[in-house]
Amino acid sequence: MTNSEHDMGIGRTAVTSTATALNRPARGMRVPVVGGIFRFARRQPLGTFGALVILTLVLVAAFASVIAPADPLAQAQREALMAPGAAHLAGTDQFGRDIFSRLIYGARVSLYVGIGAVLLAVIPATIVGVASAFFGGTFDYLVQRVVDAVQAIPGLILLIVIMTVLGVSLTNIVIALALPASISESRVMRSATTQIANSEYVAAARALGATDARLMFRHILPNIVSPIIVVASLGFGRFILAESTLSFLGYGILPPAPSWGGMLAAEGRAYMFAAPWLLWAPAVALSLVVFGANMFGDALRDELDPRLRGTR
Amino acid sequence: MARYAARRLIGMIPTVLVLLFMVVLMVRMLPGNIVDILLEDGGTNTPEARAEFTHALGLDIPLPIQYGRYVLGVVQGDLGVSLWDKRSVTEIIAGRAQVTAQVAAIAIAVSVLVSIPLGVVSAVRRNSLLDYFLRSMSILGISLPSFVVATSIVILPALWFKVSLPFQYKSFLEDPVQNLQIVLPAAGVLGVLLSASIARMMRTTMLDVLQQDYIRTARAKGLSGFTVVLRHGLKNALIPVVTLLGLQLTALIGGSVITESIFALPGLGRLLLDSLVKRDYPIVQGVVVSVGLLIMFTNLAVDLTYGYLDPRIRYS
Repeated sequence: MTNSEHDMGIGRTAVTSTATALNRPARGMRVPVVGGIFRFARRQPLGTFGALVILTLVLVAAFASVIAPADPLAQAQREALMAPGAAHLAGTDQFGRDIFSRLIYGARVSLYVGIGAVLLAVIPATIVGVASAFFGGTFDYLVQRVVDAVQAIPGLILLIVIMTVLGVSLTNIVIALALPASISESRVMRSATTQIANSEYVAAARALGATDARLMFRHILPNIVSPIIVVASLGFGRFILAESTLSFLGYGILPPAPSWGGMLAAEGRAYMFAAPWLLWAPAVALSLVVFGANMFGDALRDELDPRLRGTR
Repeated sequence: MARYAARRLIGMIPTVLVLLFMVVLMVRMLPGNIVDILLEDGGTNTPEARAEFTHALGLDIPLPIQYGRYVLGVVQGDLGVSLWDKRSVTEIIAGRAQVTAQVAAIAIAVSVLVSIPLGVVSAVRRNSLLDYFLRSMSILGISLPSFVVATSIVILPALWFKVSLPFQYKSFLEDPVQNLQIVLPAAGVLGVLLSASIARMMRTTMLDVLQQDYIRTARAKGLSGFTVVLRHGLKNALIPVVTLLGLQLTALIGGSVITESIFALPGLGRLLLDSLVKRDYPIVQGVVVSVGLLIMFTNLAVDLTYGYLDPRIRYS
C-alpha cells in the first residue's frame, strides 16, 4: 500500500474497508430482497428512518403538482409575510407566495441536484478508479497525482471557483458539485478495486483468457458495488447541502425558482426577525433530508462493513 | 524517519505541479473575453490598459510558458500581484492567513475536546439510548447547513438577550477582548460542526479496537474498565482519528469561507470571495495554491505522527 493510499484510505472513514467483505466472487444479486429489507429495518432503525425520508422526498417531488395547495410562484401582495396557519400551512413570504407549496416544489430541485450530481460523480469516479487500479503503472501514477491535487483544495473553494468559470445555472451547479467528487471519490473505488484485482479468481479468469474489459465489468465491478452504493448515498446528502451553501454565497439557483437553499439563504435570512418561519421551514426540510441521507448511508456502511458486522 | 520525510517531500512535487497547472488553466477557462469584462468593470478600456491586464493575467504568452513562469514564481514565493491595487499577492495572503489560522486553531481545539469523549462514550455504550442520541446529534451536526448555524449564533443572542457581537475585527495584539469576542463564536461554530464527523470516526475505530484480543487480555488481567478503555483502547483508536483531524483542516478552511463572511472576519475565505467578485484572479489563484500547499504539508505531518502514536509503524 502506498503512502498516499494509506492516508487517504483511512481518512475517507470506513468506506474503503467495505471492499474487504467482497473478496469473493459476486454471484449476482440473489439476496432475497424482501427479507433483506426486513433485516435492515430490524438492525438499522435510524437507517430505515433515513430511507423513509428519502422515499418521501422522491414521492413529494414526483407528485408535487398534486400535493402542493398553491402555485409556488403565484404572488399575492395582500397575503405577504403571513404566519403559518390554516390558509397557509407554513406561512407566506414577502411576495405572498405559499411557503408550503414552495417547499414541495423545492423538493424537485433538491432531488435533481442530489441525483444528478451523484450520477455525474459516481459513474466517472468508478470508471477512473477501476481503470487506475486495474492498469496501474504510469497511468495510475498520473491519475493519483491529479486526485491528490484535487483533494488538497477544500471542496467549497473548488466549488465556487468552478461556478465562477461555468456561470450560474442549475445544470452548472450539478456539474460543479460532481466534477471534484468524480475525481476525489475515485480513490475509494481504486482501493476497492486493488483488493479485488489481486484476488485468485481474477487471476483465474485472466488465465482462462478473459479480456481486460470482461475482467473489469464481469469480475471487478460487481464486487465493488458496496463502496459505490455507500459513496452514492453519502454524496446525495452532501450535494444537497452544498447546493444550499452555494445559494448562501450567491452562486445558487436563480429566483424565483423554489429551491430550499435559495429560500433559506435569501428570504430566510432577510426576514429572520419579522418572519422566522421563512428560515425554519426550508431549514427543517433541508436538514431532514440531508440527515436522512446521512443516516441511510451510515447504516448501509455499517451493514456492508464486515468489521462491524454481527458484533455487539 | 528523516529519509522517509525527504522522500515524501520529493514525491509531493508532481502533485504540486498538477495543482499549479489546474490553477493556471482556470484563468484560461474563464468565460468570455476576461480582459474586456475586467476593463468594463474598471471603466478604462484603453489599448494600454488592455495590454497591461492581458500581460498581468499571462494571457499574452503561450500556456506552457505561462505555466513555467508561474511555477518559477511559486518556487520563489511570488504569486504575482493583485490586478486592482498591484500589491503582492503573497503579502496580502500572509496578512489574511493569520486570522484564518487563529480561528482554525481554536476550532480544532474545540472539536477535539467535544468529539473524542463523545465518540468514546458512544462506542463503550454501543446501541444504548445514549449512543443513539449522540449518533443522531453528530449526524445532525453534519446535516445542518453551517451558514444557518452560524447565522443563528449571531442572531439569537441579539434576539433573546439583546447582546450583539462586535462586528469590527481587531487583531489579538491590538485588542484581545474584542478579538476573542468575535473569534470565539466563529471558532466555536466551526469546532462543533467539525466534531460531528470526528465523533463518528472515533466511535467506529473505538468499536473496532474494543473487539481486539489485547482488550480482552487487559480485562482478564483485572484492570478497571476505565483503564482498559483509556489506556488500551483510546490510544490505539486515536490513529485513524488523527488522520481525520488532518483532513479536517481542509473542511476548516473551506468552512472559513462561510464563517468569515457571517462574522465579518478578514481572513482567507473572505479574501477569496471578495477577489472572485472583483475578478482579481491572481489573488484567487494565490489562495488556492497556498491553501493546497498547506494541506499537503499537513497531511505529511499527520503521516509522520503515526510513528509516535503507533510504534509498530516503521517508516521505510
